[in-house]
Amino acid sequence: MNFSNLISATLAQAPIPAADPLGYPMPAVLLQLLSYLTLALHFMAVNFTLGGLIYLIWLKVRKGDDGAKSFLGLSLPLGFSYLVTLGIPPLLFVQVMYGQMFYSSSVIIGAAWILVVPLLILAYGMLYLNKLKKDSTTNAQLIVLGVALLTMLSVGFIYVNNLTLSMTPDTWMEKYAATPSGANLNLSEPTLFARYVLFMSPALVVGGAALVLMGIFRSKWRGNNSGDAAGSLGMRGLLLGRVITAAAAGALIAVLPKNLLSDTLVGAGRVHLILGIALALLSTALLVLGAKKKNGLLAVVGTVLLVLEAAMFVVVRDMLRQQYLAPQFTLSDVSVHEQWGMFSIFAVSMVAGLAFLIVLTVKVSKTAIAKYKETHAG
Amino acid sequence: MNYPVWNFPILGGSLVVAIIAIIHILISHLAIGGGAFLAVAEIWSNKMADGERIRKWLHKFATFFLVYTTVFGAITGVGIWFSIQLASPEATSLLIHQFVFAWATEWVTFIGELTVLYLYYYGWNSNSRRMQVFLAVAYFVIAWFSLFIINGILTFMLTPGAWTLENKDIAAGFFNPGYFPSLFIRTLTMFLIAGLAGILVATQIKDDEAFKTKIIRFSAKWVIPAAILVPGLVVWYWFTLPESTLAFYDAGMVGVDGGKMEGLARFFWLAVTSGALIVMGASVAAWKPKAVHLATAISLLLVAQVGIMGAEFFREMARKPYVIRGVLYSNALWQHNAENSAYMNRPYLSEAKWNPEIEEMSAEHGEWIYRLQCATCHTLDGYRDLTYRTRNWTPAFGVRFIEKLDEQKVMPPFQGTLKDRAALTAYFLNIHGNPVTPAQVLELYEQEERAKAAAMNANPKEAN
Amino acid sequence: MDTQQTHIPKEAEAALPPADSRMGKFYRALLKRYPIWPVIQFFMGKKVPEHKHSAWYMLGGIALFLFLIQLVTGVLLMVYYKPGQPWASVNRIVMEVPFGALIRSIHHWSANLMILTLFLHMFSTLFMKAYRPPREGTWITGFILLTLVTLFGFSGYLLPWDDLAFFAVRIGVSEMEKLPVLGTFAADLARGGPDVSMETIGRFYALHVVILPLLVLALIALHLLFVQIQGVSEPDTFAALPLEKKKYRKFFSDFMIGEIPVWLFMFGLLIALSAAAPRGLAPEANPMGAAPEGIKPEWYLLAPYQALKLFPGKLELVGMAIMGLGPLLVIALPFIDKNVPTDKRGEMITQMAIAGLIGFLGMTIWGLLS
Repeated sequence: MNFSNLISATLAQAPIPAADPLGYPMPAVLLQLLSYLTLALHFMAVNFTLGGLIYLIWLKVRKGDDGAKSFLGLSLPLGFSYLVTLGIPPLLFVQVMYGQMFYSSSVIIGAAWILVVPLLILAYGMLYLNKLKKDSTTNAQLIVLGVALLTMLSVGFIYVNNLTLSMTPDTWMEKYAATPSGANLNLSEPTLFARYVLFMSPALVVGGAALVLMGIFRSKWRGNNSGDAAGSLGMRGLLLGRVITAAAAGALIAVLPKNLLSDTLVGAGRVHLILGIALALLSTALLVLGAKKKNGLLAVVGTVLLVLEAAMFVVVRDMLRQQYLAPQFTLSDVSVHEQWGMFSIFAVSMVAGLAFLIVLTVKVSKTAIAKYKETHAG
Repeated sequence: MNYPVWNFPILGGSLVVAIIAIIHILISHLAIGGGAFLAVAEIWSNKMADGERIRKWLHKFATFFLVYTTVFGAITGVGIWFSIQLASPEATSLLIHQFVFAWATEWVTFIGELTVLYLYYYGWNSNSRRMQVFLAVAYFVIAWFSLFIINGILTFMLTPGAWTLENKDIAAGFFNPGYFPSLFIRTLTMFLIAGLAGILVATQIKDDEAFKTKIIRFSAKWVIPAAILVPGLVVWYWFTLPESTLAFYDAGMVGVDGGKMEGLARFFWLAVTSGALIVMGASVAAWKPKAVHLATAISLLLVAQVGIMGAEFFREMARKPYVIRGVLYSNALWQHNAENSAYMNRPYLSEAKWNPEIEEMSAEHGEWIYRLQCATCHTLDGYRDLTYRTRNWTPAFGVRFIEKLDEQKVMPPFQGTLKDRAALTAYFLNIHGNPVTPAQVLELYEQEERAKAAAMNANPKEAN
Repeated sequence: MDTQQTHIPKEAEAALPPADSRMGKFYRALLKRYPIWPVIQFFMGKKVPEHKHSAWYMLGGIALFLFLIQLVTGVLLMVYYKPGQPWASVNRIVMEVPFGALIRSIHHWSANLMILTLFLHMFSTLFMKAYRPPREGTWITGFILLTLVTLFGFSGYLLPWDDLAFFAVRIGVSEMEKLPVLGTFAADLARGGPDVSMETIGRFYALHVVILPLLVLALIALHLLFVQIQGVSEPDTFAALPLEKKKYRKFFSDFMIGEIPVWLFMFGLLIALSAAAPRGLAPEANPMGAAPEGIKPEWYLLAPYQALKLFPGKLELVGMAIMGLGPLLVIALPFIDKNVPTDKRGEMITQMAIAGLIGFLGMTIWGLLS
């Protein structure tokens, strides 16, 4: 039996759970918006931490720039904690919007899915171990960082497996019947590896941008060119990352079912894709230019554009998911029971909280930067 | 039955949740109480002549605190969420849809906690003294609000109060009867755990007995509020418990291996005893700080860990057989469906969503009932193992037992027909090496019933 | 003045709390009546070396604490246990007596933890080489204690008289029967007949509640006296340190008080284990019935039990002989490996001990899995 026969044979009885009786707490479009915004930020943190880790390992192997090494060693644990925390809202909203699909696929790969928890602890713990044990040998550090890298890559792989599975209900019953423990992955999914590379390779871009920024400001605040090596490494890595991402995108387009692709890339889908590509080109140009000219402003703008770019691709990703699910589910199927009161509590606390944090961070950073300049100047 | 059931071997989904949660709760309580500890210690150090030295020690505490709470605390917190999705997707979905913005608001406190903690810790050398105190206080307040929020959702599951599926009254569900006693007990426990962590970090002072004594006595004082107030709060909490829970506690039940002391009482006493042990241990530490070493301090924290195990198992078991009391049974059966006999008596498999076209009365029939209806709470050979629990079953006994599954009020009612019961019984008998088919089980059961009925008719008095 | 009253030695005056404090008054009154200052001084001299393996020194104290728990819970169980109606009385303990099931579970778990602690205590002593002369006496009394405690467990296991207990003990004693010459006699003596029966209960009961406790208490006293007289052994690396680098902790009361929270944790752990995994009571033993599936000895007897399976048929005697050599070798250790610092022979002994430990663990795990 070939693949398409299998689909048509099981399509009729794909076991899609009913939507939650409580329905959506507000119109789906607003949930989508919140989800896009937070998921883009989550991806940035993931890519910063994963990319930074790859650069750190590279620098340790090549015995490169000490400044870049200590910057990455210090900031990777922080990046990791934000990647986890920023992962919470998108995971929350995906459960609100696509809970039936997401819970089902999670259970079907349950053993792998729960493995994410110990893997995250391991990776995070390794990053702190690297930071706190400064006097260990390079080989020991490389082992520690290598473990962190492998675990992070595995977590990403498990995520891609779960999310692709959540979009293909036709494959569920067979997998679930065969392995009740959930010791499953979604390896039969044709787009799996292309998607995986597509989600992981921007790590080199975001990590590279971070190195570019760090290099520029280090040189600037110290009044010398001690950050140049890091900046140039970041710039080259960033370009390499762009090439790999583009190749992965091409591979994904090649393996995606043609009708899904054409149905996604019309109207808003097409606009977001084009905007995303344009932002990618623009941010790359600004970052490269910033690195070459040691211009902090250009690099900062380029990095901010990376966030917008991620948001555009997140939208396209969601539209593709809706096309996948279209035969069985659309967002408008679900009733809406507005919880505006609770939403306003959230909105007010979020705005107030972020404002508070920004003011505080600026204040603390100012004294810290002043102290840094004072210690390292001249 | 909307969702597939995770049949995780040996542990089962529910024990996975419990293990992650018990670890998380100790750390998360430290994460909040430790904030107060940092704030008070900062203020204290400002008033002391050896303030600089105290702050040097406090930096050690902060390092331990930061790594331990962010690495293990934050990730196990996410871990609970991962595990409940797998163990009870239906309940998780309900909670998520009802409390989505409560959770989103809690997420704001997470971002706040993390950021403020990093500003405090990484700004150690550059921040002003006033700023450090402010950050420590801000951290505690923000972190405590995360408890304020999650406590509403946790207590909701046991005592949903006036909330119903129809009214969706979020305020009634959130500020439910159990909310405040639980909030206060947890808050005081947090101070206690922070004090124990203080003692732990104080054991690393090697060179100065007098200073070690000072820090250990300061830390041990954090146990006092809980020691005085928690007993009274527990009494308050007790009176918010549903009547059926109290009846369950009093009556107990015959355990699988015999023994009347049921889990609910056992775990209650575990929590109470651990509390007393901590007070004793902390008093010993305060009395002879010089004698306190690493193993001493770790032991105190481990007592707290088993105490939390007792309290959390109590809380989980008090809800039996529901996951959301009075609304949703642990195996995802809705209360309103359970009250509908037409729903309960329809053929189980043909109505099940996750049925890979199993023939009724086939060899796999019983296995699939087990997988979809029993495996949320039970495993075959591990936690709450059914192989052992069914070891003495006969065909007729099994069929009859399953019919009255909910008689002791610790299990949900069985969904399905006589044929379903026969098939499930056959499944267990096959595990014990008795190769009966569902049809044979049904036949044996009916024979026994006919014999009983005949005996009844022949001599109605004796049969009774 | 009463001639019976003694004077307080000068060094005691210096060490006691001030004369006007409450404790100071108490000690002075005590010492005036009983001239025990040398005894106090003797105990006060005990000190524990401080190094990175110091935590292992706590195991003896933990085992003693668990033994005290056994005494207390054992007496409580005795109040309700009737050797004439073993199963019925235990059933009453778990079903009716308030906290009966809990106390019984604690007794069960404490027994298991005590045996585990003693194994760890023995192996830590072995690897720190604390058995070498002049501490032969401590080592040998310690090993006998471990044996007696295992016997404690074996005899107590039968007392509930449920299916599991009956068949496990029957298998255990019939292994004994296979010993040449005295085997049958010893087995009959233990059972009070050709098979395990109610007669056996009387014997095991007397053993469990009178003979073994007295023996164990006496041996503990001797074991502790030896430790007290000779002091805590110092590992080679510590002993080699120059005097000013050696750090010690006074046993009374710094080390002991520091260990109290550890004991408290052990107590909490006992309750936690009893709550999570209470000791069950299987149906009353039926000697005519079939043995339940998968009957195995308790975990601490699994290693020899499993190892015997390696010697099928007639070879079983050879296996028994080899295993009988094991304990003899352990007892002989201090006479084989004597030299400080460790010489070649000492290192060989350590390697053998590691091999022994791995073998023991391997056999136990194999036994659990099979």
